[in-house]
Amino acid sequence: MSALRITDLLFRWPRQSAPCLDIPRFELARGERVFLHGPSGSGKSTLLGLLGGVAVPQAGRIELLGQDLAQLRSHARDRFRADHIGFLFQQFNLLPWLSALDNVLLPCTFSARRKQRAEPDPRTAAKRLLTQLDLVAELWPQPAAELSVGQQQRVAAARALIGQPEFLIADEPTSALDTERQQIFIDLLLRETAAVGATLIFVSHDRRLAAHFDRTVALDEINRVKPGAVS
Amino acid sequence: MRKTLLLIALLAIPPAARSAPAHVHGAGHLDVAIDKGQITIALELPLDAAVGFERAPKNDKEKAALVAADKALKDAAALFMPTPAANCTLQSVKLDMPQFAGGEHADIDASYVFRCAAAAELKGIETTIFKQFKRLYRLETQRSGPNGQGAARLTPKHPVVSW
Amino acid sequence: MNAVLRLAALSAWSRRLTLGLTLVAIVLATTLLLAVERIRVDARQSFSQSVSGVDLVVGARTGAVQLMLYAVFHSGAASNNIGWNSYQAIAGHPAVDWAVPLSLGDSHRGFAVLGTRADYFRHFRFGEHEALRFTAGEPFASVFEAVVGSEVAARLGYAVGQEITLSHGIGETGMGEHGDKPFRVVGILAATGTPVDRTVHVGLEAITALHLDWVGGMPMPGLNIPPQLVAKFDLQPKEITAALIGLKQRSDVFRMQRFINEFRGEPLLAVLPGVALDELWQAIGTVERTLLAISALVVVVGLAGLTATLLAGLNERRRELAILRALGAGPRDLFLMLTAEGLLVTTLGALLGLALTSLGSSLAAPWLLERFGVVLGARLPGAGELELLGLVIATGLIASLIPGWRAWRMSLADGLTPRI
Repeated sequence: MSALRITDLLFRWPRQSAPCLDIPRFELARGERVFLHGPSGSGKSTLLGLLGGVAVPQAGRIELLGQDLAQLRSHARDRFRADHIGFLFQQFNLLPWLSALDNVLLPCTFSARRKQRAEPDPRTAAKRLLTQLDLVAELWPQPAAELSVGQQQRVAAARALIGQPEFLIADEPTSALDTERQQIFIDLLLRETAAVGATLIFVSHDRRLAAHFDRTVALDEINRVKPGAVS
Repeated sequence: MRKTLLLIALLAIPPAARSAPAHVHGAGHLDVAIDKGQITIALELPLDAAVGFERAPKNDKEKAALVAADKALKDAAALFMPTPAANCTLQSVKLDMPQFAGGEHADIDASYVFRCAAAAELKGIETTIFKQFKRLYRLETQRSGPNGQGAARLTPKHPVVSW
Repeated sequence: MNAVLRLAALSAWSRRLTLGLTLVAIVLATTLLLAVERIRVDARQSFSQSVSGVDLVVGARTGAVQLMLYAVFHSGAASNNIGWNSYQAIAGHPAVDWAVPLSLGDSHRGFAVLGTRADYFRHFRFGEHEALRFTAGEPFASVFEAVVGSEVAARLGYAVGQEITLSHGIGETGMGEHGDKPFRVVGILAATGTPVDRTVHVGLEAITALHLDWVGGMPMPGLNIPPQLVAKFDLQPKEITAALIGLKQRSDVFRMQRFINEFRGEPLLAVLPGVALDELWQAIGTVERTLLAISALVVVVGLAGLTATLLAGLNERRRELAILRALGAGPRDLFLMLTAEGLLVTTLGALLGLALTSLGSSLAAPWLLERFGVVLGARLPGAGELELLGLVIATGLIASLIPGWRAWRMSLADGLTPRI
């Protein structure tokens, strides 16, 4: 069973006539770590929204871990997302008024499954992840807003990984970091993803990062809508 | 504030409001006393409110209007309706129609006595007087009863004294 | 859902300064609204509790409310007195069961002095037909004896046997002392929560005696009649301020009122105390409603401020909402989160407003009592107050639905990537 299978996907934003995504076929194996690139405005974020179940395609199927997302009602899609997907964004990933540790624990308050899979217990798991991601213990109780961007991204990575979600979706998580820190961060991310055996989609417009990944996919290879066709 | 209250009172209430009820066309006075199962009602109406003029009748139509008003005011059981559960019955009616002895104004005075078998059930009195006399638009009412005293202004929209 | 509410609380706490200011506005608005309502209800309550069982109050011809205010509440001043003969004619009317004369105009250290008869203590009723009770002593029996109300005794520390002097006129200092004719306190009344508590009662004859050697509101120069000689004079008053009348039959009240209003000897006015109070309420009802309406508007302004604050904050919190969305929160959760935040602030504001009202009214109660004769009860909030409180919270809920709805729409439009 594949981690992700997209067939005949067609998506158009409301109040727009032309489709934004038209993907006949796209598949990812379990544990695969994929680099997805494309210029900005090519529909990367839209695709991630569809994978997360916050938007629904007009046509086609998205099967995530064997589950057809269209079969789920919106509430169940929210649950599915919480249970199986860890998200990482560009920056401002964290709730600024929560401590670093509490930010990491957030997925466990939204998903019973991830709480249960955070072994031996969520707090210990969170601390272990933060340690593995090289965040010193003095920073754990600090409000997220007081951390540096690099530290914040590592906390965000720990949050995405806690409770061993099968899927990790990272959207330009390194764009706010300098080159050296980008390398370090990607290495950390790949290592931790491999450790839990998760499937990773890493989205970026910066093709120089592609070398670290099992496979590289250009969005315009799989999407029949060409960039520039949509605003 | 004490002075303010006094000032409000002075402004809002015409002096000697109750000493000699002013004759205002369209406005009558109603006094209701309830004591030991007996309701005493005193009604004072400007003649104008009942028949539309305040002098001796000039023609048959005006004479007929006076007769009609006289009849309506004597039919107290239809005019005043105490709470049905109190089981009140009309005891007496006294009606003084104006004698047109001169002067600018003429008033009708009427008094009614009801006796109630179940006085404890008495919660209020509704009047149909505004339906009878379309020119009447308010009745300034005083009441005194076992539940204390009070004032109310009855109008066609709110023709009920209650306590 | 619990997680969302917990996060809502934490998020609100992180914006406590902005929300705190909004909260203060809501607290003050609620306090204003509740205070207006409480004073309105308690003023009515204390006024209507002040007299019962009196069929008619008789005085010189003036307004019904004025007559009530000075005869029962010892507030304001009588424009005219009524002749003793008129009083006697009325008291002797066959329909009259009892009549008590009242004479006002003197004071004792800011408290009103009421000249009356010992009958007053027997016939006067307050609240639900409660009679006056003595906590110490007994009614006055001779000229220079006085009975004081509970508050007079408590505030001035009087006990039976205390000697006091009265002042001419009203006011803290008075217009002249009746220092040559001291009184002895012979009785102290139990608290009633009515103007009686703030009154010094003396015999009608005492008032005459005090003014034997006075002319035109001033002590007559060179004339001083010592107390021991007072008994040699005719102490029958020539006039009194007002009279309280009880009838044998209540059904006679309007006939008697008419008789007094058309009295031949002099222009008199008879009012039914309850009727006069209702007329007072009718008169100030408009003012009260206006005050309540203004306070309600202030509450609406406060809640509009809440809505504005939440909406303004929402734009800055778009990232936060997207993060929560990625973590598995649905649009409904975010709607709930924003609405809960608004409702939390409103409810907290309303409850703090209630607390502030209670605190404020217990602090202001002595002052209100002294200055306006309004007894502000230390009590649970009345039905009217609870209703207003409910309305504030309900309005707050409606005000909070707007940012909630906006968060819902935003989360659907933004998905996981906020457009900022």
